[in-house]
Amino acid sequence: MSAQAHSTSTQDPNWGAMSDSELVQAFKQANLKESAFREIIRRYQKTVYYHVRHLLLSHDDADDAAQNSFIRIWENLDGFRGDSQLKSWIYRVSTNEALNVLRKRKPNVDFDEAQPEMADYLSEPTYLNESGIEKQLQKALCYLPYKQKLVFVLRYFEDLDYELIGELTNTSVGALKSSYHHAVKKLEIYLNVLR
Amino acid sequence: MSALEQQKIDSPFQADEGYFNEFFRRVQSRVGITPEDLSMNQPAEKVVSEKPVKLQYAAQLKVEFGQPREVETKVVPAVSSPAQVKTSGKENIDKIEIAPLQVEPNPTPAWRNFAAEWSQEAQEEVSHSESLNVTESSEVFSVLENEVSEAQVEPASLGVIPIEEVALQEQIQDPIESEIHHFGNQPSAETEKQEEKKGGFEPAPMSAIPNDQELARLKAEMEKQEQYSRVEPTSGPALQPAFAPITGSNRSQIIMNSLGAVASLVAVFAAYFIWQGIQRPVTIDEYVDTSLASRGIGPVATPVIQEMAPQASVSEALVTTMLEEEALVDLGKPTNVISIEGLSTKGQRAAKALESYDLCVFDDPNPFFEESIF
Repeated sequence: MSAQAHSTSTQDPNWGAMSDSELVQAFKQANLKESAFREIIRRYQKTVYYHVRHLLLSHDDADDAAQNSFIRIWENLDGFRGDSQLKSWIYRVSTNEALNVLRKRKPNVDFDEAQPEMADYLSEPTYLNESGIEKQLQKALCYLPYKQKLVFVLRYFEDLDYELIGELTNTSVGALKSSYHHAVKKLEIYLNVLR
Repeated sequence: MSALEQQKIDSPFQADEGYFNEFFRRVQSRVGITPEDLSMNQPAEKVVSEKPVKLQYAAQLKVEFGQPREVETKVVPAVSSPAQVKTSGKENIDKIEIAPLQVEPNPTPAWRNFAAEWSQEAQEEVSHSESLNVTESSEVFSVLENEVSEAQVEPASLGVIPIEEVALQEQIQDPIESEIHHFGNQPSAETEKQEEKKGGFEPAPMSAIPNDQELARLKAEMEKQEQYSRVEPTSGPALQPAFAPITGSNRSQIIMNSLGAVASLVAVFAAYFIWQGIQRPVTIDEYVDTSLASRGIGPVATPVIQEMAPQASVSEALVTTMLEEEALVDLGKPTNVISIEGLSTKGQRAAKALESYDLCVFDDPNPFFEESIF
């Protein structure tokens, strides 16, 4: 923990200046746990919400999944060893919550296949820009195999590098690049059709 | 780089800050920690340095930390003098004194008791109508006739019938009759001229007394009305059919005849086309023959196999194959006797099939052939 964080034993630390690893260390201290968790929520709530919203498309489901993700983080961050980045760990937790929602929707869901019926959730207007190419792209994403869609969402919308995505999905960088390349080609075709 | 990557498309999902603030508090409460606001405990460099916006209404800026204010109850005065009602405070509710209502008579009232006046007028009208003698139309007519005959004076010198009586007559008569009566009562142009020559500026009477001619005409009209109103189918003229004006003339008769002929022709053509439409379905062979004939191609020669087995239910493909393989050229003549010794098992089965349909006869020294089962 840095000197800035050490100086917080007597006064309130500067949570915004802390790194993720310092936040994890602060979380493991009983007196700083709540404040550290608040900072984690503050730092990652938009990331988690938009990530699960891209995967689930429904606002209500995304809200539930995001909330459950932070509850899981609160419950399990003590056991986080730091082998991977906190960011990728949070992505993995939230992705698993989104996949749980998908399994509740369709118990025998196959993530190697596309889920075109998910495009129906785009008719839900909550926090959705209904006009323009943005919605068309989300509709086209429903026609991709779900794992390919996940790679595309993490790379295209959330600007994660391939190493982090590989850490998250346990996939090699080469396979991820190939998957992303195929996803882009398919999406361009779908977008031309949808236009 | 592809076009999708060159022209990056943003996410369509855009949640507002209010949602994330509510989400922040909700997650804290769900995990059981003291909820804080999203903006609290923010780092100094991330705090927005904009000046706070002043509220427009000064009332919203006032925060009173003293004793809660008593709510001032606005008492609507029940009388015209609100000063007589004491509403000093909440503690004085039981002590409110209401002065007795003093009603001063208005010397110039701006209102009238229309209900009382109306009932009085209604009673007067009822008594007046009871005084009138209500008679039927025929009686009125006879009374008028008698008066005219008894008077033997100029119509102009007669007195005017009271308005009430004329109005009563009009009420008794039916609408048609009253209309006729009203028309008969209108003064003619000559009468008006005579009145003008007399120099009278008096307005014309509302109902002039009819003279003899008018009375006779009115009587005739009334009889005519009564005659129409009576229904006597046996004594009256025979009722004409509804289309009598159409079928009555010779010209229309000719038109109707020609229309009938045209309609019958149309019916014949329609029946012909319907008959063409509901004919039995054409078979494929007939269709092919007709289509080929239309293109100038003659009928195709029937294959030998079809000539041999026109009703065979055994697979023709099997038989054809056997014929090709075994070169049974003599099978073209069904009565030929063929030895099957030289045939293979497959050929023997085919030959058996042909024999079962009496297409040929085989000399069969081999007992296997009898036992073979398809």
